[in-house]
Amino acid sequence: MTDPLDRREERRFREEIREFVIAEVPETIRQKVAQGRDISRAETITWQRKLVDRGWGAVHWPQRWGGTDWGLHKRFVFEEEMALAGAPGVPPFNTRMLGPILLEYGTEEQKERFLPGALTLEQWWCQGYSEPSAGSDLASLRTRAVREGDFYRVNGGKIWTSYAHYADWMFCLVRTNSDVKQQKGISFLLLDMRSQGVSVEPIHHFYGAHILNQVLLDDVRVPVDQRIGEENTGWTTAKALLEHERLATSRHAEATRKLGRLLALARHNRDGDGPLYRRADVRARIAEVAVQVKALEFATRRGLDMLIRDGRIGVFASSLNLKGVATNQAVDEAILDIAGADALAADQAYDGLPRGLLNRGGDARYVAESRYYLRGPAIAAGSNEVQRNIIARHALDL
Amino acid sequence: MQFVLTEEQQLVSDTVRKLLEKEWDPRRDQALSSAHAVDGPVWRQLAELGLLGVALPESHGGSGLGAVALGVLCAEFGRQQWRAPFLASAVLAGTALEQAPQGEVRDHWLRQLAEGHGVLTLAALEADAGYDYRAIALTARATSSGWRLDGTKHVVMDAACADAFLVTCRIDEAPALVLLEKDHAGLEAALFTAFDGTSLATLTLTDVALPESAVIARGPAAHNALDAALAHAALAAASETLGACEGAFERTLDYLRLREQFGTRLATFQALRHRASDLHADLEMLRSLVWGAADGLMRDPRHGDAFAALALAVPVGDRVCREAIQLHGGIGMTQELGIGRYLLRVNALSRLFGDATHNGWRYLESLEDEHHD
Repeated sequence: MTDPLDRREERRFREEIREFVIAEVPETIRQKVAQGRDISRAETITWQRKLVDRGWGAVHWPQRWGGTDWGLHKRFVFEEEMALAGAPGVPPFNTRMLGPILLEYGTEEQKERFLPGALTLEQWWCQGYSEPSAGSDLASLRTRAVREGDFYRVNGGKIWTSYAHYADWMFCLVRTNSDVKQQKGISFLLLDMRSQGVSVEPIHHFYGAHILNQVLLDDVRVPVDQRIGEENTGWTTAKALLEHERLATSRHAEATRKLGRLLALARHNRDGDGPLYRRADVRARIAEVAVQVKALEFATRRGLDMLIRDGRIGVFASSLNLKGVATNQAVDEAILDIAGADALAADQAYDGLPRGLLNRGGDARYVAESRYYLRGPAIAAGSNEVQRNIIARHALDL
Repeated sequence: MQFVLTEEQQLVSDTVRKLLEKEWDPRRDQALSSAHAVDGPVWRQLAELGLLGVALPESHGGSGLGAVALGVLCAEFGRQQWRAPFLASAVLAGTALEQAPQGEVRDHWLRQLAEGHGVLTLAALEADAGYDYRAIALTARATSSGWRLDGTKHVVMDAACADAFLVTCRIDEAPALVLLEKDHAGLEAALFTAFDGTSLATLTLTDVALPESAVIARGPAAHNALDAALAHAALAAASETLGACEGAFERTLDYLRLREQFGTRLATFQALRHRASDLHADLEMLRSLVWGAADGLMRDPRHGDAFAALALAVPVGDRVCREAIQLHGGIGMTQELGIGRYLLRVNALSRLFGDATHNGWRYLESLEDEHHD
């Protein structure tokens, strides 16, 4: 681990990142990010490969596997600046979730086999954890894997599987023993989505987007050498999600970037009396949001500080998660209000609209649907209610 | 950026906590206004420890520990409900003097203040200006014998025990900070006590002569000194609110753990657990922002993040302290328990230094300045 960057190094590094984003992200995609729209599978892969070419494809991996060996602080600055600069996000499943698990628990052979493809998105991974009857209470999952010689025969199904319709592979949790405490009977398998018996059904968000899916597993054969770790140790493996990932749930850089957009919209958009920004109520609203964003930024830095000092964030992660979601939602709601009628155009309709239809240049428009995406994180990976239970128990000793 | 206390700052925190636990009882001293504190043992010992000048430079008799230690100190005052002229003297007047250009009068009073030999206060706020301490209408009048002042200043804290007033006014259009000792002819303070026990006054100036030596700062220097004073006051108020919330919240958690109703401890009700968790998350954000803002003031004495800190402290303080009463039930309403004093204090602080909207606007202003740099 390298030492924290000093102020001058940090400034230089941030410039380097911004220049890279300006040079490598096409205008069309920058617009999409600014407007909160989803980018396609092909666009995501193109972007990830540019990052890989630059040596930035998985900055938290060791250099040997295409990572960087950077210290925590530099990685934090990198991720923050990328988000601030409006770089497209890459789904976390490949490099942020599967990668660290392979590095920690995979055999050399498994690493050789899966890490390179995970890095370049040659293999697009999805995460098979949740099930219809196992949501926030994940350990109650029921998808069964029965050992038959060198294979497991897997039956059951997964739900809320993000980007399963894009995925080549799925890392998943399955039940290999039903006679023990729930957590002790779970194994961690890597499953080829092209195997016989796998089918993917879309689940559309209420606003129309297709990100989530249901994955049905009907007599799917998975070779035993695609199990990570020992049988029945999958719960430990899945829980070992790196502590630093828990920082990312605050989405503070995303909130900061959106705050900039909110300010720009308020200055640009007018009502009968002039720019909205001149209105006292609008400035009060923006100020309220800006204060929350600033608090979130410092809270995230405090989390980083804990990580560097103690190697863990602990229960503080639950506050970051709660407030990260709430703050991002607050910025989105303010943007929606400031955008006014300009926010009415549906995402699918957007590309066909003449640029000057509503506001001049069209840049002041905002795709309302992106706002609804964030209802999701208040539910996924431990709903707000589960976070509150964790805080009550582990921070407040209630 | 620093989110844990250094050994020195921890020492400040521990020392003051023990000092207050030993020498101050908010229930016993219920009737005392903030101005009384200067005669008490806590004030004297803080002076001896060099903590009345905690953020002032050592060259002026301070400790030079900076804004982080100032925040730590104020949080402890908030937690233990200490009422004193610390904000008025050490923070508002002290910062303004420190940021003002060197001069005999300024140097003298800065040392008096830091060493506990003198108490100062700021007289800045005027009628019909809301919370805008920078709106200065009071204008010096030119006469054959020099400048004269006539007018009124509102919400002057701790005038009752102040040895001198730092007064904002205009001289030749430009803003100015002038220092007037309490016996200066033409000064009259009408005293009253605020609902939290803060001693306040309306200060009337009648044909007050203004010798050149009284002018501490003029023009941009006065403007900058005032801005720094307000930024430090915002941080101090936010820190004190944080400390008050921590005190109120910890006592409330203890109560939830112990109190039984319907045959079970209150802490077992999920509705109450979730409310407590939300307050905890609010406080984690406030704590982070207060520390970040203190760090900002270490680098720039007028840093705008301090206003963000107070803009968040106002609603969080109000919510946490209200909930502390509610979660205690009937006993929470009593003077005997005293949990309600936290609410009085945090509400008073926002009446003194601006509500969430006012401080939010000031924070936005500072963001705009950043963009123009």
